[in-house]
Amino acid sequence: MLHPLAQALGSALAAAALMTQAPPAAGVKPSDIKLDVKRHTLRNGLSVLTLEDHSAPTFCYMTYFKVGSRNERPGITGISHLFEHMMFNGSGKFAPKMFDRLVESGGGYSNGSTWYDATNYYEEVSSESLETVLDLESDRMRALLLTPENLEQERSIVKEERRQRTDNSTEGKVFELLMANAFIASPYRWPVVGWEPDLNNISLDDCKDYFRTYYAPNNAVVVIAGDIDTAKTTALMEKYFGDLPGQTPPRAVIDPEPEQKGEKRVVHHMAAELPAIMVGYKAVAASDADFPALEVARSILTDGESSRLYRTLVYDKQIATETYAFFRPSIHAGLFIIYVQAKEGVEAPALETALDDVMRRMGAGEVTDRELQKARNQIRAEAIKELKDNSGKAERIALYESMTGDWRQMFAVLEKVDAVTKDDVARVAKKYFDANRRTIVTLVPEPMSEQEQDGPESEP
Amino acid sequence: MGAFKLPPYTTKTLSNGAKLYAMEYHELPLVDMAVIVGAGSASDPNGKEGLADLVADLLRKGTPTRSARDIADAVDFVGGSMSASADQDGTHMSAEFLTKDLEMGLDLVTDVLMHPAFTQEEVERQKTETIGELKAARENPGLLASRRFVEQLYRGHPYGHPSSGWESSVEAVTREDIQRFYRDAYTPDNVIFIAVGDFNKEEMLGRLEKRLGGWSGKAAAKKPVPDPAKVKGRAIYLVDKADSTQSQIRFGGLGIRRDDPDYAVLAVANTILGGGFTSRLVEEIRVNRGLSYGVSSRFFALKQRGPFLINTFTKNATTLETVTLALDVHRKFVKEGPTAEEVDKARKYLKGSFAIGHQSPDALADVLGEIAFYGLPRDYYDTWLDRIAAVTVEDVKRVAAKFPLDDSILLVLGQASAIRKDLETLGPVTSVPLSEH
Repeated sequence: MLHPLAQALGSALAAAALMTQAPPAAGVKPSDIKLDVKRHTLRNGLSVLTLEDHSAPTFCYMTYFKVGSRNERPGITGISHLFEHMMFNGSGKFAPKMFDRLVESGGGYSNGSTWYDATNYYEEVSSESLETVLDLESDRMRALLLTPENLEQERSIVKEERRQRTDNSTEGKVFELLMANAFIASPYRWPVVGWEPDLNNISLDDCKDYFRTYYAPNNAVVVIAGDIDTAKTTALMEKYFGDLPGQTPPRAVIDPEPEQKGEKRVVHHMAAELPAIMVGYKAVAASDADFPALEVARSILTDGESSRLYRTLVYDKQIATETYAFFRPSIHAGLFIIYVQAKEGVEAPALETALDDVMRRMGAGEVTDRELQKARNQIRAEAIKELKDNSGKAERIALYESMTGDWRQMFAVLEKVDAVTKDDVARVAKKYFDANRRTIVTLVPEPMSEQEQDGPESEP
Repeated sequence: MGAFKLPPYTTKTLSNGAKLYAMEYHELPLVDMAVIVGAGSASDPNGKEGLADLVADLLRKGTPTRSARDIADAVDFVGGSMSASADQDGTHMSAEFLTKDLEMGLDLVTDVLMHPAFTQEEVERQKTETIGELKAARENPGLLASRRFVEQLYRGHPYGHPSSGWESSVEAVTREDIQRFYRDAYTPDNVIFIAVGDFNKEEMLGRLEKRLGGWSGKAAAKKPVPDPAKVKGRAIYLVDKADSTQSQIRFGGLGIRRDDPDYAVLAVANTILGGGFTSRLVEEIRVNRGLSYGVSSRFFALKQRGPFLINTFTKNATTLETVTLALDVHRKFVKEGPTAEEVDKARKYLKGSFAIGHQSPDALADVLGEIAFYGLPRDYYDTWLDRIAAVTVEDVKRVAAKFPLDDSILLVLGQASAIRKDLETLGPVTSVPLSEH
């Protein structure tokens, strides 16, 4: 199931993909899981990784482009995600609508997702459709069709998506406000789906520039996992993609976010049933040395019904309907987020007091040996479960290869989590769960309007 | 490789009536369990809607030897999972553990299945939690629209309430109701226990028999679920959510039973109408006109006729246009049938999807559960691809014609002041409250 926040990010797969939390359990070591991945880099810079698994006559083809909303600028926010939609609407050899028709005729489906740091596309189809997929994928990387008609159509669809996931969703709205207010300079401050006026402002020329800059082969990683032959597949990749020109790599995006030195509060009024708070603590990038300890803290706070948030706020105190922590690896420093939705009759300040106590205890060294081991076990088990099918394997490999340059980092992360101590957890909790680093968005429910009476006489 | 087949599995019925299924899967060190109890929300007494689902939630909230905390701690400590919920026809428990935790996982799952304590404290806590979730669901327009649609379609029928119940009916449930429901339905002769994973399947049957063999009891006679009453004419319902900038649209009627002989033909037909991403509904509503981010159609096949439902959403101003278009697309499909090209594409899509959808142990456990619970032939899915391959244009046309939806329900949830007049051009519009029934 998708995490609600991932839905708010504006994309189908974002969550499943990125709620990483890698690692295995006592008795199961990362090295027990063998992924025989082969890497081949084309002369134009396209990285191709293959993994054979012949247990079912199907494979997954996954592309990660190293571009997301962090690469945007005010005025055209949302272009990364809008562009993802444009990728299915025809290319040099294929008329609009043909992409999905050929994929479905090939016995499968395609999709894509966009978030702050990257954009991915994948097809999962029958083994015999390998060349069809390579033909489609190379053609849209070579000669994507960008027309005014396509742009208007997808602009309209994306606005519906925004209405569904953000404007008509209390949680989606609160999340958007949290990111926009917590960050003042980081490119994470605008929503992945984009501000609506910006969506209206994106031009066809913006799309063409975007394609040229970011959809070059050297800015992509391709993973093919499943019922394939590596030698044959590699040769076909050369045939279909070898002639694409590489481009000058895009200019690096920096993170200009200044240090936050005091709490920020945002109050949002919206038609809703229950008060809620979303708290975001300024945290770290995935590459930071403190990331593994924060990942363990996240697991202790939120994984399962024995987790501290659920047990304290829902089970023991019975003041919340729902609660979770959300923290995922990101290129720039991200937020460590906690959400609490009140039970009826409970107001936001009571949620805050209870939550403060939970967070303070994490920093006061109250985490037990058993909790620490539980978090390691949960993180490891999750990592194993993510490899259940070809798309899960391809996604993990592509994610780590594109973010770190080496897919094997998915196991290295597990080793780092294993090395985290109770003192590490207490130290990072004390440092990062600090009121001066946080932003709190409070949702104040406005009563849902009076029920409409039957009959036309009640019309305003 | 040739066509995909499910891995072999072995079954055994114990002398107490419990049906056991075991299938091996060795790709990863995982074990999945699925338990199906033959009573779901259709067995909820009037006024106690939501009872079956409450019982399901309460299973893992304590046994005589383990508290709710102990159970959650044990499952979480090994990175496992265990949950249960009711649908119309049955209650489904599922659990997943690493292979090394297999014995412990089996102990836990069978303990909560056979010995739930239902303490007063946990009953009260669960009721409060469920009512809280129902209140929170009022903020979810898509979910509300689907629930209100099903209530209108099955008025007065045991399928006519959400399995989660309503706030007032959950409030009315007592500990005695819970104990009675459990006593009547949770008996070995009413239980299917499925295990899929990294083990030897004969040994697994032995482990299950060791734990479940001593369980006794007979399920109480169940009132059969009647055939749902036919909808007469086209009824239009409007649910007002005054702050909404988007309308949730649900349109459909009665679909099929799971044992319908035309199930495979309908799978092809529905793929063409609104199943895949190149369906007629998607191409007309999303691709050609950009009216919605998502549109789909689906048959929910149950023991009795389940709903057939077209599902989409659009901004206030294009509500009528989208509704009209969906009706037209459906009408044209029923009248004219599919093209040969569409049937060919749908068959290939379903063939590939079958392999893609059955790679993981939890998906394999689900499909075994479907075979066992709905009494499908043992080799049902060995011949599935042949049945799909045999579907013709004429088959699809014949079966689509059975669902003309002249008798149907259209329900729209959105800002009434902005969309009511438009909807009234289609016929009389009846208001339905946002929450409760």
